[in-house]
Amino acid sequence: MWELIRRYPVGFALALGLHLVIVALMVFGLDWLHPPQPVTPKGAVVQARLVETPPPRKIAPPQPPERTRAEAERKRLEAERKKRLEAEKKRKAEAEKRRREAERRRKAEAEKKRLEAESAARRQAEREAAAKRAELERKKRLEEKKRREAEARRKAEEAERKRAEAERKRFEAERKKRLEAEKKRKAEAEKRRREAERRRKAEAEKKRREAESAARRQAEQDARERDRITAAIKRKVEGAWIRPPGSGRGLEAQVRVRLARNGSVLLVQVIKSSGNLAFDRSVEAAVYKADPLPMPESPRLIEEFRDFTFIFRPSNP
Amino acid sequence: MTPLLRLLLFLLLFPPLWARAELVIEITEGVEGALPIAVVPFRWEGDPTRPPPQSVAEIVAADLHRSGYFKPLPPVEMPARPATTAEVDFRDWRALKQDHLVIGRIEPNGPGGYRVTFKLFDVYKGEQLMGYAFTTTAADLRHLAHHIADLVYETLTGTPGAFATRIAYVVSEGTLTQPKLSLRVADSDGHNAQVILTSDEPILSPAWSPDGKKLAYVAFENGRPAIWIQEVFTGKRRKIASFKGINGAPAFSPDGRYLAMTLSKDGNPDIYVMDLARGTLRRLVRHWAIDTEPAWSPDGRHLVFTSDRGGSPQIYRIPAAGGEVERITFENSYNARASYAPDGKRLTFITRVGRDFRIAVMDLARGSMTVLTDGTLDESPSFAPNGSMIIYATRYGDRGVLAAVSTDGRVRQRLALEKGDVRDPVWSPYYQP
Repeated sequence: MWELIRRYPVGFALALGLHLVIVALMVFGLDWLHPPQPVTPKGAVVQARLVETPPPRKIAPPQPPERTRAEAERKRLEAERKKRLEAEKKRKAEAEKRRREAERRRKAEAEKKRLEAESAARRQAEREAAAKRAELERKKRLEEKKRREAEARRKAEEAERKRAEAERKRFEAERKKRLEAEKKRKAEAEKRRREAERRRKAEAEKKRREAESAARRQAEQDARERDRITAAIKRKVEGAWIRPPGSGRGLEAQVRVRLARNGSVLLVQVIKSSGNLAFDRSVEAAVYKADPLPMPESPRLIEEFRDFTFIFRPSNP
Repeated sequence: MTPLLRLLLFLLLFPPLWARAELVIEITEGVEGALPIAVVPFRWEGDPTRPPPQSVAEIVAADLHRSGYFKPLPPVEMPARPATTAEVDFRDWRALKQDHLVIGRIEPNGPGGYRVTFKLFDVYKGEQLMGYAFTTTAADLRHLAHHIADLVYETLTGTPGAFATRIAYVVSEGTLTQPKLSLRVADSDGHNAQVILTSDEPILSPAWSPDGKKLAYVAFENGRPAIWIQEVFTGKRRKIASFKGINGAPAFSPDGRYLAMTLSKDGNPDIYVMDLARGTLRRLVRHWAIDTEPAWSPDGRHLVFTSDRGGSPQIYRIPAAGGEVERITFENSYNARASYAPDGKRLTFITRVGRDFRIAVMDLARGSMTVLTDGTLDESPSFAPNGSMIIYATRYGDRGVLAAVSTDGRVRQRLALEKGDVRDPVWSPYYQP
């Protein structure tokens, strides 16, 4: 309802006006629906009409002489009464006629107004309908336009996609081709490299085997000499070691020794005490007494024997 | 085999120099023996016609030898006789495989006085380990020598020496009809003996007070034993116990406040403890068997004693406050006269091996017993205050003599011979001035 009012305020106002007019007519215009009623003339009514159109006053004729004068008077009175009645009758008819005329005019006027209102409402309705139609038409056109635009866009996109796809495929194909070429090139390089590598490795392996066997021979030789020298050192130190009485099993001391290249003792240091001072002293003394210690001939081994550790750990009780 | 595996195997078999652990040589064989030391006779720098009464170096060397730890080089084998550092050529002594060297000088120091200087060297390192100068008198020269021996011993072994301590013992002279007995105190080497008591009746069981100033002993008077305490230096003495029956085997507690003893005043011999300040007596052991020869543990918490409650004499232990008696010895049919080592971890006592009575040491923690001597009638063992030696009496010919044995049994030696029959030796504690 409100929606309607808002959308067609003019039409609604017109319609409302028309309705109000019709109601007013129904209320105030009942009399023309009823048959005319004789109205008891009343002073007020007559007066109102008389104000408007006063009948011309008739001037009485000059009165006959006396004998005749009564008669004449009577006749004149009679005539006068008749005349008055006539006038009254005529006046009433005329009033009625005027009233009817007024009524007719009023009705015609009302009718005319009603028709005009109806026509205005109709025109309004027509205008609104036309506006609505125009609006619909406009919307339709708009939608149509949009639809066409969307369609155009879709088509354009589709075209673009197809183009891109084609491009991609083309690019892919090119890439593949390049890769293929690269791969091939690499494979060839790799093959050449492998070949070189294989040759190099074979060479290295051969050298390594030779070095290995030389090293093994060397190591075996060293190990033999190491064992020989170790045993000689051990013999010499054990021969020089006099353990203090009562310091037998269970004691253990470690000493670090530094020797000159010729095996002479440079330094003896107790690095782990037995807890027995006399035992520790005897251990130090044993190393000094064994000075100089046997040394290997190989220069490689000499370094090894220049700095080492003795563990003194008596096994006999 | 892959090259990598081969390499690994190679490395395993022949580790390169850089990967090898540092060379370690293990020494397991070695002769256990006395440590060689040269004690060069100290040079007398005074009037050559009036040398000092004692040979200090000789006393030092003898002490070191008796300990069993050292083997002094006989002076005749010495290639040189240096008296000052400048005169020492270590090569001389290395050539003789001497670990250590002691040199010294004695100078006159006023009338009857001496100034003694000595130095100890590590021959192989070629460095001086110790050096002292003392002034002394002729009478104390011997004691000073023992003191020097103590200093050398402690420097080289890490254990305090006990040469400058003393021993007490009883000497019996005379004949059966005319007995002559004496209580004597001597240096730990048996020299310098001094008589502190003589009697024509038996003297028994001397015992040192813990400060080394007093001796308790049993002396008979008119055939009856009594316990006495005598001050060593003043000779002042007092009678402590003379109850009916046996009064025997006194032993000072480590704090010197109590004297344990054997009394038979209540019947059979049992162990009693006397509070010396109050003179009160407490019966510690009550048993129908014979209980005697009490000795305190160094911490004063226990006593050991000899009892025949098991059928034969054995060593038992009881808390000093009294309580449960615990048997200590189980080996051999006779174990008696026990006393503690200063560390409280060992006991020495007499044990019978076959028909012989010998000196044994027991490790209390392990319960293992070692017989140290091979005499026929060894008796009265007691530890030196450093625990390194045990003094005892042994038979030599037909009489008793003093002897010392290192606690490992390696070195046994008779001490200076006294005339007469020596019995009941006991080693003093460290003297506490």
